[in-house]
Amino acid sequence: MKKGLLLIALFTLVFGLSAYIADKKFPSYFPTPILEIENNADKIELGRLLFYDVRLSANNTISCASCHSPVNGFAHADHALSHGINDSILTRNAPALFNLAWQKDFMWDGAIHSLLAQPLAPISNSKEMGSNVTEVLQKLNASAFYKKKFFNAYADTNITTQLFLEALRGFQSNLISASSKYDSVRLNLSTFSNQEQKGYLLFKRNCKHCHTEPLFTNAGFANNGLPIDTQLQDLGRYNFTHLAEDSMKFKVPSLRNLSYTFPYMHDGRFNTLNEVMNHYTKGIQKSKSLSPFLSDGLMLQSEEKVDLIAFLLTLNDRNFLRNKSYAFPNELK
Amino acid sequence: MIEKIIIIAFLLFPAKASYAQQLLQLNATFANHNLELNQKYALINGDTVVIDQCKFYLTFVKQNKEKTILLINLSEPASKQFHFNEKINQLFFGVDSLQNVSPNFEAALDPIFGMYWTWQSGFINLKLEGFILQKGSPAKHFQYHIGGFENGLNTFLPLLLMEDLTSKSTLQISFDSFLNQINYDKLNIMSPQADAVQMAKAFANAIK
Repeated sequence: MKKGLLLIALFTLVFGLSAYIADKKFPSYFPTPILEIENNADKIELGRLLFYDVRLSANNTISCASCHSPVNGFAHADHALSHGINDSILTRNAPALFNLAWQKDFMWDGAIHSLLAQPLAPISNSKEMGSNVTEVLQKLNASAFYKKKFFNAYADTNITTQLFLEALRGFQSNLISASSKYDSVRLNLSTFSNQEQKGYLLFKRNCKHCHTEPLFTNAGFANNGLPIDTQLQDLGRYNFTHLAEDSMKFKVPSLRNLSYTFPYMHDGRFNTLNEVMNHYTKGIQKSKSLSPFLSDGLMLQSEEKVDLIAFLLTLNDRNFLRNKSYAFPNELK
Repeated sequence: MIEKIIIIAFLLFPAKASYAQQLLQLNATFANHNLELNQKYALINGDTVVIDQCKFYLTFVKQNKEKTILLINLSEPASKQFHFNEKINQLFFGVDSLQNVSPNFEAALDPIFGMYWTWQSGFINLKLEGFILQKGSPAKHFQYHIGGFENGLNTFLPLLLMEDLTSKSTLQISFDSFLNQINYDKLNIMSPQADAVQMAKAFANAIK
């Protein structure tokens, strides 16, 4: 009997949430998106094909999904730094891709200001995909398959840079993660456990300034007290702005889907949430650009860290990971 | 013979027919002679410079604020003239911040022309490459990719006002004054920086 009730509750939760998100694309407590979320199904589908297509790389081995895998919340997992073409190891941890329509700056240092332009960076980086847009367009224009797909989406068989990038943007703008347990609680479809509730209070006391609800990022940049990696010598946003105040500032990532997007930080230096907690409680390196919210580190007892992690795990969104409309398209098989 | 300048001109908006067509021609010169690519030119300090690539953007703003963005490429022999069907209100060197932040990658702004930094937002407003030959040293290759629109490093610069433009049939680019202002000790500029702003200003000042 108890088991039956639990199953009914679970069904209500999953289907209620899925129906809500499918209908609205995002819940009412989300802010207004900064970017337009593409609605045209043909354009979104075309973008999905391109996202998973290795033809975007010089030697047809690397796709966007190579580093941004759906099973990892569109991040990579298991290795600290991204892997690129010809066994290259890059200098940063691939960020997770979701809720991009609420962002105006992209990459860990925010050097790219439009989702339309962003794919040009990995495509033309010699260590990532090692190609360029001219080569990619030649491949696509030589493909009868893509000619048809572009015609369906844009009524044009001449595949241009603009259309190619618009399609990718259309797909990525639809990568919306908003069906975690946290979201079901927000919609009164579920409740937190006592431990999760305690963790939520700790979150609001310690983390909300940078990891602002409901996206769990303020979309800004912060120095969170990481000592510089002496090998990578990555000064983050400073490399782009050349402003001393930006030294060691990196984009504040969302805390959604943490179970799938490890390792953590811009250089993937932490493999577990416990390591992250320990950094914030006793690993903060002080500097002039350090976030003012971290000047004394976080004061968390061991039990509190466990409670906080319990809450953070409610931000995992398995529905997002399992969403078939985001998955590898059968047409590319 | 006048250096032929290719202008890849693409009108972003339809023109109105009520204005008499204006013809504008670009002439690139060095010491009052037409500039040739891959030719040696003597600088004031005795060094010699060779330009093998020069591409840059100009933005023409019409009275109704609509913009026409042109990519001028000195390396390809084609049209050295372009036409306007409307009064041009203002002329700028480079691409404005709006296009840099929210680009439309069509026509002259297509990254296939190699004038967009892919690793950061922003168009390269001027790409100048060549060799500098200094006494007692082998020829050194230089690459100046000049751009920037934010963080106090603006290279989008006003050139001429409407009254000047309407009376003009040619735009003169005096490379002698520009090339003599470059500090060739620094051979590469590949990102927005103070030196890029200085070079953009020198180039803009050379356009009359």
